[in-house]
Amino acid sequence: MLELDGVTSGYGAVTILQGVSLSVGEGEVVALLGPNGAGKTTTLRTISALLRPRAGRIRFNGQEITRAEPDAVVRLGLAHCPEERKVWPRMTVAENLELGAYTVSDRTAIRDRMEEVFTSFPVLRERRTEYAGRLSGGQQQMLAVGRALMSAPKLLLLDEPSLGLSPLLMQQVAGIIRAVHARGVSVLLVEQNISLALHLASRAYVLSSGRVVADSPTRALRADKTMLQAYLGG
Amino acid sequence: MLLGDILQFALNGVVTGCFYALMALGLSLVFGLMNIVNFAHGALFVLGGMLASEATNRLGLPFWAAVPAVLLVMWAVGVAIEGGLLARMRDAHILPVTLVTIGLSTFLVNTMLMLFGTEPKNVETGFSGPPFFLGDVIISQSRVLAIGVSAVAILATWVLIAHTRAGRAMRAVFQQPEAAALAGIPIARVHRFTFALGTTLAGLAGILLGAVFVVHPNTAEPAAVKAFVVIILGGIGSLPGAVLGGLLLGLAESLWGGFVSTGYMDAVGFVLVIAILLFRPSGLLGAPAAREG
Ligand SMILES: Nc1ncnc2c1ncn2[C@@H]1O[C@H](COP(=O)(O)OP(=O)(O)O)[C@@H](O)[C@H]1O
Ligand SMILES: [Mg+2]
Repeated sequence: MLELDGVTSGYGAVTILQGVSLSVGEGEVVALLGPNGAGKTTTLRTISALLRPRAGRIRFNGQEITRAEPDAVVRLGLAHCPEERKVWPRMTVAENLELGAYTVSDRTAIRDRMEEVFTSFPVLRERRTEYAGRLSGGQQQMLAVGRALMSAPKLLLLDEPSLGLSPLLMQQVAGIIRAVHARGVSVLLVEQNISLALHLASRAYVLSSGRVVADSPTRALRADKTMLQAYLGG
Repeated sequence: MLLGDILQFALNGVVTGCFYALMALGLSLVFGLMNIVNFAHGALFVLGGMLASEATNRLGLPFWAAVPAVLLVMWAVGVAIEGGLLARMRDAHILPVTLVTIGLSTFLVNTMLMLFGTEPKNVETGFSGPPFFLGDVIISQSRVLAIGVSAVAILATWVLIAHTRAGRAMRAVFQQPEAAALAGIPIARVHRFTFALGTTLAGLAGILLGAVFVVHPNTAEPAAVKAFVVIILGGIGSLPGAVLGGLLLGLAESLWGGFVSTGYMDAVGFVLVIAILLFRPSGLLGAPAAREG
């Protein structure tokens, strides 16, 4: 479904990703792990075309998206829930969700999806007319995930969805990722919370200094003490 | 008699206030949303008036045909400036961008002096019939026209920004560009649209000024400064604030000029800004976290 083949990418004169290759299969949950500054966010930003790769190829759903524009990538069925939520603070919860479906023109589909998001996160329904900037961190995270789901993606990129959440909310987010997965959506999950990621994903890549240093089933990774200690601080 | 005078000056102030409000509304889009300190805004304002003067006087177009034609040209000018200059500097620091707009202003002002001459110009409306009398208060037909057109333009802009898909996309792009790109909003098109809208509003203000008074290229730079005064007064980023600030400044200048002295009229705005910022540091309608809509 998603394939990166030798992708090199970075900012200005600085190259961050040094030939990253990875793949996410249909209906798979894959974790992308690694220390701070390894290039995980850069990888996701390159996939969703916020950054243009300098070398290598990216394919999604059988189509080459290496040089695509971000809106074309969204239309193909890829949604990216960015690091630090990035909700629109001075727009209401409902406006945030509607804009998540900017590429969708079918009004009924938008309404149905918003209903689904409200069912998953009832607190968003209660606060639908409030500015997103007034929500708590956890509620903003729910809104960010809900917004990403509004375009009915086939693949969801999640960048540290548990950041700043209480253990209880973290469990809730984990539940949502499972529910999204159960609906047939593939997930590429970046997480600092290693145990959460290893429980949700079936496979994991470990990234270090812009290179993939491990690609293994999470079951194996959980037992691999050297790898966990060397790269993941656990 | 005194009451009649007050009403007359107030009404004159509302007319001037409409010009300020339209100018400031356009600048508020460009400065408040796009974060571009556009010193060429005054030159674009004069350009609207100059083009309308040419269209009505030299080409002899009726006012109602000239206005949409000039607004279309202003839109195209906005698209060209954004595409040719500003889009190339989107990630640049605010200072070089400001220098570019100052240069653009100088270029536009001198080009207008060269093309249209150094005489002040008026816009022919065809509304030269007798003025209306409301008790002691007199108002000319062209002033009624200016107030009416301004009100419609301000309302239309508000509906566009607060209640349409395009307006929502605009707010999204300027509040959180990365999230907007990820939602599939075409960022470059939104920048172009917003700048073109700001340019067109400035042009409309210039057209109406020419219809009531006269326009001259030398007023471009003081006009730009005044528009900045208005949006600081109203609260940066607040579109209702820009409108309110414009009306307030028009009123204050007119009453000051009528009752005190016309000598210091241009200082009124600055005094008003200082006074208001002392009590409300983020302007009349600007929340500390700035709002719009
Ligand atoms: N906008 C940027 N400009 C320049 N360098 C950046 C930018 N964003 C991130 N970096 C650098 O890229 C490297 C990888 O960052 P990132 O992809 O955010 O890592 P991670 O998400 O794995 O913590 C870091 O060294 C960071 O300093
Ligand atoms: Mg990161």
